[in-house]
Amino acid sequence: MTARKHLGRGLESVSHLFLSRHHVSPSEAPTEQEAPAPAVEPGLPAPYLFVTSGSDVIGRAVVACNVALELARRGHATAVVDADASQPNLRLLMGALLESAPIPARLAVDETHELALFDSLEAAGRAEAAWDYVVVNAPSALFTVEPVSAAALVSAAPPAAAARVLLVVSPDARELIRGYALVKRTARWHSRLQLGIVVSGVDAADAARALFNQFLDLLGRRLNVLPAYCGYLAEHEAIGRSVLRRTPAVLGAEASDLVEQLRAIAEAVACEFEPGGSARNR
Amino acid sequence: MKLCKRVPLKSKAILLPFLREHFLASDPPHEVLATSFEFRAGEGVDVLALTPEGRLVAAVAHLDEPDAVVDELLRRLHWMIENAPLVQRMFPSVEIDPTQPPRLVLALPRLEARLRAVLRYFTATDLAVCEYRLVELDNELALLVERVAQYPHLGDAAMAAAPPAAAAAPRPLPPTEEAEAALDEVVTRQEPSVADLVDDANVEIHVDDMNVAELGVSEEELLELLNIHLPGRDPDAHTR
Repeated sequence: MTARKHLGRGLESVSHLFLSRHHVSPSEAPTEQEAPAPAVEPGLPAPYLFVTSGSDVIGRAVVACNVALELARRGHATAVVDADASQPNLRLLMGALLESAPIPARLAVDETHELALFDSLEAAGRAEAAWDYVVVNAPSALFTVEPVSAAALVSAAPPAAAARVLLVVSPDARELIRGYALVKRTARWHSRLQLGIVVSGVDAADAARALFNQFLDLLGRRLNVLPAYCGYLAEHEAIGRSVLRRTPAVLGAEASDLVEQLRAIAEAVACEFEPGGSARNR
Repeated sequence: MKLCKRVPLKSKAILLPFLREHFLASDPPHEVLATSFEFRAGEGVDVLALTPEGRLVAAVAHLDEPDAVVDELLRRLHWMIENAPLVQRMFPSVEIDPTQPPRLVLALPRLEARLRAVLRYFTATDLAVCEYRLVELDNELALLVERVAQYPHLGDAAMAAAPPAAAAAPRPLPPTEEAEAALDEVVTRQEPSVADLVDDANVEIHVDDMNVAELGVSEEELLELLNIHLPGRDPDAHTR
């Protein structure tokens, strides 16, 4: 037999893949047609940057707080909102900082969740001129909220609020599927969605870039969304130490790969998502 | 014994990377110029490659055996011959030999006798027909590809010298008993048959505990997502 065998990729990280029969009546059957996009482009003012992930990937809160802090250190007025109701880690990660003098001075941290988030964002929006960046640590669950009416859109409910998204992905098939679904949902509401991607959980820059390039190709072809590469985050023991010390890694005295990676991410974010929120044309 | 299940394809999206790798792994390896190369809307070839000698190779894959497959092959061949200068301009980094018509590769899940009989009259260029089987083994997808027929180019002179019916029709290579037995062995160990489940129109696709349809991800998108190579895994680790 001269048959050649070429192996597929992508199923290794899925513990099992199964299909179940599901009988539906024709009226219940899903259609290919998606709901039409809203005529009016919704969304919060551009200083808002939603840091999110397909699921509870390790690194989202770390990226959110360290990037916010690094942006503030660079002189940008930055607010941080923790919208993760199930694991509000920002206060844990930044606790020591919050208990000490407000360093740097142009940094504010808010903690809110669920419906209160809308009020919090709206209130922050009214004071938008005060902020160059409002970094929101946003769990993917927020992006499953469907704006159902024009009124809901005006109140800026996610995902309508999320015109600028920093997606943290890890090399896991489920994570990629969920991340893709999140982008697809959000892109329906924003023809000019700005998307940055951070790859976490990989050991080398070239591996992160390779994964990003494949994801970029898929997002571009399928969703007409072209994300920007915003760096990578390897697994570091220093992350655990920074949590124990309740001090973001970028404030630590020790120079490390982790600090370099986080600063590179902040630099990419500052470059891609301009301060003050002016839209960056691609 | 490892369970090996045949997986029917509903989309070509998952097949194309395999075909691409098939060309890259050819002996000698071909240079892949493009995947899903469209001439115009809805018409094109699935993989466009180049032999080391500079001859174009175009692969056309099908999920089933369409009635108009010969007509389709001829139209694609015609376009590539007529537009050879354009193809060269599209790929300026390589040198394409315009004197030889592109070689064609037709990939089908199974070459039925009826089509096999018709294809022997296809003498416009070299045509190879491959059968493929997508199988799942230990949560890995694998593609078995076997060349089951070869139809050589007889040239314009031969075509002019004899009417098509009288032309010395090349005898297609029948699949060997060994190959048939091996492929059948692969596809018969199905317990339960994934093929039966996939063929059911009303299915929900789950990845672990995740209902993919509820996420708004289509089956085609899912297949492409699952085909993304994740760092830290050796794609050839399980090659046998």
